[in-house]
Amino acid sequence: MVLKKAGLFPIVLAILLLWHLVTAALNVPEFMFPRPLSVAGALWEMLKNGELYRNSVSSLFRVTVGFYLAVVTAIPMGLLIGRQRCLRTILNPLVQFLRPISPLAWIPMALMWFGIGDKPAIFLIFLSSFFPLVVFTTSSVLNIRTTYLRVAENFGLKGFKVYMKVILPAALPEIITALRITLGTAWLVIVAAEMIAVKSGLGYLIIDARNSLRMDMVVAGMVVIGTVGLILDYMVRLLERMPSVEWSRMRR
Amino acid sequence: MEQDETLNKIEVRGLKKSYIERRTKKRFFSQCRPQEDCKVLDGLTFSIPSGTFACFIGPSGCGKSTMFRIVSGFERPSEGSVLIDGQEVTGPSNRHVCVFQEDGLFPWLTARQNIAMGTEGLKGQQAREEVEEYLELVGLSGFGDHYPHELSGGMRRRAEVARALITNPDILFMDEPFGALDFVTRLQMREEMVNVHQMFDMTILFITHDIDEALQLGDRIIMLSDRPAKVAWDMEIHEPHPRDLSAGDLRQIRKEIYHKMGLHVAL
Amino acid sequence: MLAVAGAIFWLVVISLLRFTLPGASHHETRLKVGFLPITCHLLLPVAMERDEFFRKHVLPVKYTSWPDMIESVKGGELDAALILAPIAISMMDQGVPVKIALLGHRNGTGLVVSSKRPINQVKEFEGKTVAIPIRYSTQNIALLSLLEKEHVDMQRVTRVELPPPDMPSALASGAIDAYIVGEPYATQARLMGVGTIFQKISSIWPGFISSILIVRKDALKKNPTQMDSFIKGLYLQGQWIENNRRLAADMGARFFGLSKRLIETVLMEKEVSYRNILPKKEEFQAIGKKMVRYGLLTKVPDIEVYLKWY
Repeated sequence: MVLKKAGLFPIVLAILLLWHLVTAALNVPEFMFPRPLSVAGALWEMLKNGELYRNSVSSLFRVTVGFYLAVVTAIPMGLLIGRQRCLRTILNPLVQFLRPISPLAWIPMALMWFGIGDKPAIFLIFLSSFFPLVVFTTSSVLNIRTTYLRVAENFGLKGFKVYMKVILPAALPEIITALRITLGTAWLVIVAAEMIAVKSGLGYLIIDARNSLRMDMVVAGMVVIGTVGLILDYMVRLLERMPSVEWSRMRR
Repeated sequence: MEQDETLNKIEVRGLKKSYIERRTKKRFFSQCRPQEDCKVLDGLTFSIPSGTFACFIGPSGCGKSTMFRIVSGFERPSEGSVLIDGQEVTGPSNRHVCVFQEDGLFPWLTARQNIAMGTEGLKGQQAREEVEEYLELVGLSGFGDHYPHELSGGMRRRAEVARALITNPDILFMDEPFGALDFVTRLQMREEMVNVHQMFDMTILFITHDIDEALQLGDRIIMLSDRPAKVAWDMEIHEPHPRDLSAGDLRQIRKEIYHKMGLHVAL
Repeated sequence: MLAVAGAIFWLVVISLLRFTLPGASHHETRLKVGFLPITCHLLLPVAMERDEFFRKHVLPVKYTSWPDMIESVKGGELDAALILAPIAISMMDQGVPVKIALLGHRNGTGLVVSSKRPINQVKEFEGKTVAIPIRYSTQNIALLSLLEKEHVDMQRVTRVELPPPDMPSALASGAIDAYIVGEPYATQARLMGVGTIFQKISSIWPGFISSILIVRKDALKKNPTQMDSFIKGLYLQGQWIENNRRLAADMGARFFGLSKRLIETVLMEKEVSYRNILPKKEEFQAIGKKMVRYGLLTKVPDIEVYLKWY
């Protein structure tokens, strides 16, 4: 890990240098694609006036709430659908139908139902995570080895206990992978949603910078979004190292 | 531990199983073609007295595992019945514990936590002590905190056996439990199974495709025919342990089994 | 367990941070007013700067595209909005409970063509792509009227809807050949050197109306005195802007986050007018009729009902 981090810095530096050289050599005007230095300036400006902090916190808050809501509803639902054939027959077509609809398609509805502010964005994040999570959880339950279920039955585990002691832990590694994927999508969606449904957040920062013709700020916003996205992904990856889910990696 | 000699036994009568009814539902996945009769078991009948170590052998794919699932209660027979203690088997029970062919330890629990699953009903300290005792019994004292993927195949099997034993079952069902282990570990596990059987005085129903294993372990060997399975041969073995397969009666029996299975090997 | 604790800890931390942010506060009692950064909405920033009442009781909400604002008005999120007149008329047609209060300003819309690929006559618009803010805009109607007057085949002019701030760069990139929009986005193309003004719409449609102030009836009912002070305050700024254009430009630039030079250029040309901003029935009926003519409306709603304040 240390070695990897040490290796990262020169690479980033090289990319920045290349970026500078290419834009300078081709004489790309600032309003088409800004130089790294002016982006750094814009970053510094946003850091100083608190815009960066304010908008990052807004975005992270929305993603957190929306994503958590999805997690606490979708996972139990996925577990149930995976277990109960009749639920699967009823709900699966609905879930499968709603899943491929981009959460952004819900923007008009979100705006009318929730107005502007945190609520529509949270709603959109919830939608973007809920359906994939249900589908992933369902399929991971269906993938559980029958042996584990038989052992549970053998040891007299019933009802709620089966879910808590066998089905959830057995499906957990795949669920964590699903969490990683959906959190990535949620972060994609929040930026898009904030361009429309709210008046703060990193997505709004970009739109606002564009409207005031500040391309350097637009790119600075992109840099921040990318960085936060990386950090979020890293956090979820820590979950994969939990001792009770490590087995699935060993098995591969 | 004292059990009534006449009651505690497994009684299997005219067990038949065919998968015809499944074929219509899972047409795409079934190995059976339409019209083909998919009989797996064809009238299995046997009874096992209490305390017997019964080994089942038979050619691979003959339906041993199907029988195992039916007798242990995970599947229903198409015809016939299974009685345990005179009661019809309708589902699995924690009085009759299974060790499956595949790894049955929960990989998300440590060895200790896995074994503790069987201590339901016992309270804190008592349960903990018992778990340690069983860890030691199967030779895993230092490995309680290891997760299954951190243990060797043999250790995993030991832990699984411990988990089964800690429930103090009447019957232990084992479906080719040592099939995936290396040769030396298998030999060691056989020895330990003999000890376990003597210590716990329970009925063991042990399935294997390894004739030597059956001869080493069984008080009783039941040989199944090719699919659809019937009882092809049923014999009792009264040799004391440890057994030497290359001597005396055992050598003779072994020859006969090979012969009946259509194997012509110089022994 | 540790993961769950961590997740909960994070939720608490981010929520705390979120709710200690300035402006994240409490129950909103202020009037929420929607606007776009265009000179037609300049009354609002000037009022925010000059009027104590506005600072205390008005919350301006910035939009960048018209559809978002429409949804906010329909959903009751906004109490009032500066919005394009045809949108307001179509809302009336749909039964959205609104009333018309004021006009944003008069004139201040230009038809801009690319300076690299110039268009000299209306006839030349055939086969070209022209951006409009939204089909429910007087800009669209003005464009169609102009084309119709010069007997241009309207089917052969491609109209695309773009958010006003995107138009100058779209013109520069060649994605569109021309656009019609409210200031300052017409002048902006000129200052950027990518476009020239083909025609000021005031020359073919004197006293051209772009945006108007609408208020929701429920907000009006809830606090009529507050609404009254709000409308009055906005109205009074019109007079002041006329006499203090440079100062007003500065206020607008800061509030909208646009360059001061741009707003100043627009205002100092004195084409845009903040006089005479009380709505007149006849003008709205005329717009309504044109909307029917160009297929934006099936029938003109009874405008008078929406103008009645007594």
